[in-house]
Amino acid sequence: MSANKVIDFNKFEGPVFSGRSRGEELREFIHLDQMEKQSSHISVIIPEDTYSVTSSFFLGLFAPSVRNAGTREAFYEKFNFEAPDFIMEDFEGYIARALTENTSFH
Amino acid sequence: MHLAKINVPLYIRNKRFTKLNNWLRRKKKKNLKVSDRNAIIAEQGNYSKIVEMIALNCFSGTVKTFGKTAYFKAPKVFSIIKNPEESLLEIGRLAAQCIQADNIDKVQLDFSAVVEMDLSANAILDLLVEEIDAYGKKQGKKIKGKKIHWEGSYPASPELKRFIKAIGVIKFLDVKHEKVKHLESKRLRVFEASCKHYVRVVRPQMRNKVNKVTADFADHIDDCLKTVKKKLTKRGRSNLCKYVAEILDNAEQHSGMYHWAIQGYLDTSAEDLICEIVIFNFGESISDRFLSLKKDDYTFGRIAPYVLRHGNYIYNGEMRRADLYTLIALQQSVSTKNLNNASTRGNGTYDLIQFFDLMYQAFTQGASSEVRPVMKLLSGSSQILFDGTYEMRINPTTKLGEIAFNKDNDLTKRPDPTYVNGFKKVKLPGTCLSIKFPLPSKASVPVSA
Repeated sequence: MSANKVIDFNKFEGPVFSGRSRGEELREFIHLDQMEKQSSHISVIIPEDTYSVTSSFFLGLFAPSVRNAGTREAFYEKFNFEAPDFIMEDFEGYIARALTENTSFH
Repeated sequence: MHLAKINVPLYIRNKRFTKLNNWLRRKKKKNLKVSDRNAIIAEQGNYSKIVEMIALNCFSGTVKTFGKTAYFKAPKVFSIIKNPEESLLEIGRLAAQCIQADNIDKVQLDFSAVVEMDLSANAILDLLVEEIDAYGKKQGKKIKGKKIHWEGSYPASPELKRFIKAIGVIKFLDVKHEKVKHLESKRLRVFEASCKHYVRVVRPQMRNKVNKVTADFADHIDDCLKTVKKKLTKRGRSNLCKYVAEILDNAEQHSGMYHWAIQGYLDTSAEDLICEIVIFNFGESISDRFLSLKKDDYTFGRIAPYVLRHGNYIYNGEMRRADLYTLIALQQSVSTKNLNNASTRGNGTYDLIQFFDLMYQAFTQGASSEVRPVMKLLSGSSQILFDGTYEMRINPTTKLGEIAFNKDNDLTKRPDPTYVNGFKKVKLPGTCLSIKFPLPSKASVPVSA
């Protein structure tokens, strides 16, 4: 595997990152599937002036990566985030959601 | 040497030829525009689909028409939160008159009886008025001198009059001589954005309309809070953006139409500082989407036991299937777009309800106003009221958020019919989310949510 790759959100137009389709399209645009196979560590930089990253966007972009990792710890081992604290708090919930399976309503 | 100096007749002939060609080109372009417009009118009819949708869903039967004049009389309480059925009925009556009568050329809007009005009723009326006026202008181009004349009467209350001028029909019709005065407008915080069938930006590195409108809306709310010397924290702004963006994204993805609007309003000269928000979209309602699920769809399989459990209430007419579907759609992880157990859609409404619960806690502490935060979800003919009585809670078994609208928060038990119910006579052709919350007057009340 090659050296660290960087996903820099400064290159994408914010300050709001929302929409599952935008997340999915961005995943394709930056070839994240390929990046994951080729790199042992990926840095993700989210600027301080970001207003929000929604769960739909995050899951569109990272849900396959979270599921590939299998656990929260393995995901953070692979992806190193540099983001404001309030964004990182949200990401904890999104990662948990990606790892939770749906059940029926009885 | 210039042709005019060496061969004057040739020069003049060339000039006349160029002039004639330009004139023919302009005429052809104009004829194309007229034929395109006629083709659109032939395809879509004399009125927009929006007007038709409102007429068909909000008003049944025939309506009395008065020649080429349509009348709208707003009820005393013109509010989606407090009086949705009557408010929608009157809006539907206006739309029905436009459809039934031939070539309406005058509309009278009578707000004189109104003593209470909310932003959501206003927003739906605004959208209808805009559609009627736009089609009047299109017709006007075909028939010289014809356009729709608008007349109306204001409510008696100066606050409501200011409201109509600032964000009501006066603003949407751009009636310059009736607009709110400059000094008055400085005391208002108004936000309005809408989207109609735009072409989605296909470059994911660029922001789309939802992203932009969400950020602008967060700035508007911050502006509202500045009036009480407060500010959104970064956490609060993030939460607000999350919830607004999720609602707008849901509207685009699930309704089948790209036609939504978001409005915000705060009158700082009013006695009670009440911040109002409405997010509205046309298209399929929540229950429509669930009713169209096939029996082998994954989501149908997940929710079928819930609907079956309440089958007796449906059978006895105490509850309606549509209302149950609307309620189940609010639960975390429920989405018609989920395909299997690993699908991760269905967080938007959970986030929204969480946000409202947090806002309720934040804005009821120390608030001098008797007004409590309230939110109403109206989709199709179903409505659900949030006023802090029932909260979203995490199910310890599934670890997912659930709100059942009963004291045990148990989805196996019947939801409170005062909070989850529907209409028989009217149906909104879309989904409307109305929120009203008081701003705290005391500076010590924390605003972060």
